[in-house]
Amino acid sequence: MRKSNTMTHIFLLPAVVVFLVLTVYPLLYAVVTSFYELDFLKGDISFIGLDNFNKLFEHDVFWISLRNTIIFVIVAVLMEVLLGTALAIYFNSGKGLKLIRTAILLPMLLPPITVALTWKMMYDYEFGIINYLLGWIGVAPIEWLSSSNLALLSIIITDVWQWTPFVFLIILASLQAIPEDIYESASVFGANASQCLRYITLPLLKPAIILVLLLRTIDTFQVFEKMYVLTGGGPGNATETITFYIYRHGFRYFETGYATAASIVLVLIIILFSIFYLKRVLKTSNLS
Amino acid sequence: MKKSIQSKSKMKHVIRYIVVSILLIWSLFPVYWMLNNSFKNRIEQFSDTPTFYPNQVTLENYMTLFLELGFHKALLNSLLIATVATTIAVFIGALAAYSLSRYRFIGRKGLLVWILLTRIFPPVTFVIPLYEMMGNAGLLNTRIALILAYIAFNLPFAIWLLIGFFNEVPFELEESAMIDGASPFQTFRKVVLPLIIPGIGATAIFTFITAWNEFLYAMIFIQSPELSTVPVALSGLITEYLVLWGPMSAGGILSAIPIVLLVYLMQDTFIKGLTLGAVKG
Repeated sequence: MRKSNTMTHIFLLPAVVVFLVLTVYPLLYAVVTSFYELDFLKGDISFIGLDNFNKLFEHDVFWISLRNTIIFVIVAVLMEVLLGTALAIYFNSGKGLKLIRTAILLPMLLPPITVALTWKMMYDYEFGIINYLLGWIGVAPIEWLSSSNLALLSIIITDVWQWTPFVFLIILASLQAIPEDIYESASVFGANASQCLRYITLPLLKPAIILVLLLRTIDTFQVFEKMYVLTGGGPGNATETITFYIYRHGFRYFETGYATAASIVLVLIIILFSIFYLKRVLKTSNLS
Repeated sequence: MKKSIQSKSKMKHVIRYIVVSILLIWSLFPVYWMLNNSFKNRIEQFSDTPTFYPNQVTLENYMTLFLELGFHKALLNSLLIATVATTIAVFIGALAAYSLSRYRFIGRKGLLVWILLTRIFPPVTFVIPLYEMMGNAGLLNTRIALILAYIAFNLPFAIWLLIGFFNEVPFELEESAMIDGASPFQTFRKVVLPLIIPGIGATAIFTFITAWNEFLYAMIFIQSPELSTVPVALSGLITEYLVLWGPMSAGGILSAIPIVLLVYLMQDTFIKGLTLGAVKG
C-alpha cells in the first residue's frame, strides 16, 4: 500500500461529499428529528425529548408490525437459506446445473413490484391460477391474501420464490471453490457421501452460510413493496411491517418526528441483528 | 449386486429429472403466467377455466398500456434515471475504490466502516430526512431527486465491489509502469482501468438493477404521473375499485425485459459480481 498523494485526495473527494451530504447528514437529521414534534399544518416544531419513543412503545400497532416483521424475517430467511443451500449442494455435482442456474436467476432479477403483481394475480380468490389448480385435486378455494392467518405466509412464499436463487448462487460459488482432492482423499479413507457432506462440505460452507443468513436478514427487514401491493398491510394489521408502519406515519399521517423515531428504532434492531456480520467483515482483508 | 447398483443409479436419474422439472416450473411459471395473461383479451382473462396459452393472441393490453396509460413515459423516466445514477455512481465509485484499494491515508478505515454501515441501514431511515432536504432544495417531484438518492444508496455497494476487483490487479503491474516513468494518474488510467473493465461492468449492472427496481423513494419523491418510474406506474394500475390485470401483466413483462436482457447477455460477469459482492462485503 502506497502513501496517498494529491491524486488520491481528488479521487476520494466526490465520494466523501456524497456520503457527507446524502447519508451522514440525513442520519444525524433523523436522530435529531426523533426528539421533536413537527406539525406541518401549523408549522410548529417543538422539542419533546423521548416522547416520540414513549408513544411508539405504547402503540400496540407498532408492536404488531415489529412482531410481523420478525416472523417474516425469521421464516423467510430460514426457508431461503435451507432451500438454497440444499439445492446448491444437490446440483453442484451431476447434470442440469447450467440449466438450473440460468432459470433460477430470473426471479431475483424482477422488480419486487412486478413480483408482487404477478403473485397477486395468481393468488386471486376467484380468478387466480393457484386456486384453480388446487381445484383439480379437490381443494376448496383458499383466501390467500384476505385471510389474516394466511396473508403473511402468502407474502413469505413470494419472498422465498424471489430470493432463494440468491442463496443458491452464493452457496454454489462457495461450493465450487472447495478443491476436489479433499473429497478424493476422504473417499480413500472410506468416507461415504453423507460423511463427506457432514464433515467436509458443511463445515467449509459455514462462512458462506452465515454470510447469506445475514445479508438476507438485513434485506428482508426492509420488505415493503410486497405488502404494499399484495395486502396493503391488511387484513387488519396482519401484514403490517415496520417499514410500512414508518411509511404510513411519515407520509400518510405526516407525523414526521414520530416516524423518524420509529426508523431509528428499526436501525438499532437491524444493527443488533447484524453486529455479528459487521464484526466478521471488519476483520477481512479489505480493511487491513 | 451389480443390478441393484444399476437400478439405484437409474432411480437417482429419475429423481434428478423430477427435481429439475419442479424447479424449472417453480421458477419460470409465474413469469410465464404474466406473459400469457399479457396476450389475452379481457374475456379470456376472466374466464372460469383459465387458459394456459392465449386462444386468441391480442396486443390490446400493450396498446392500452401505451396509448391510454402513457407507459412509455415511465419506461423513459426509469431508463434515464437509472442510467444517469449508474454512470455517476460507478464513476465516483471507481475513483474512490482505487484509492481505498491502493493508498494509505488518514480516515481510510473510518470511510470503509461507514461504507459497510450504510449497507445495513434500511432506506426507509433516510427517506424522511432526504424528503425534507429535497423539499428545501426545491427538488421534490423532479428526476434529480431520485438520481441523487440512487447515487447515495448505490455508491457504498459500488465502492465495496470495485475494491474487490481492484485488489485482484497485481501490484507489480503498476510498479513497473511507474518505474517506466508513468505518473500515478497515467498508471491508473492506462494500466489498471483497462484491467477492471469487467468489474466496472458488473458494478454497473448491479447499480442499474437497484435503480430500475426501486419503489419506495420513487413513490414518495415523485407526485406527477408524467415523471413516475416503472414500478410506481405499475403499482398505479391497482386501485381500490379496479385492477387492470391485462395492462398490468403487459407492464410487468416490459419492466423485466431490460434487466433480463442485460443480465443474460453478461451472465458470468453478473454472477462474479454477485459472489464477490457477497463474499467480500
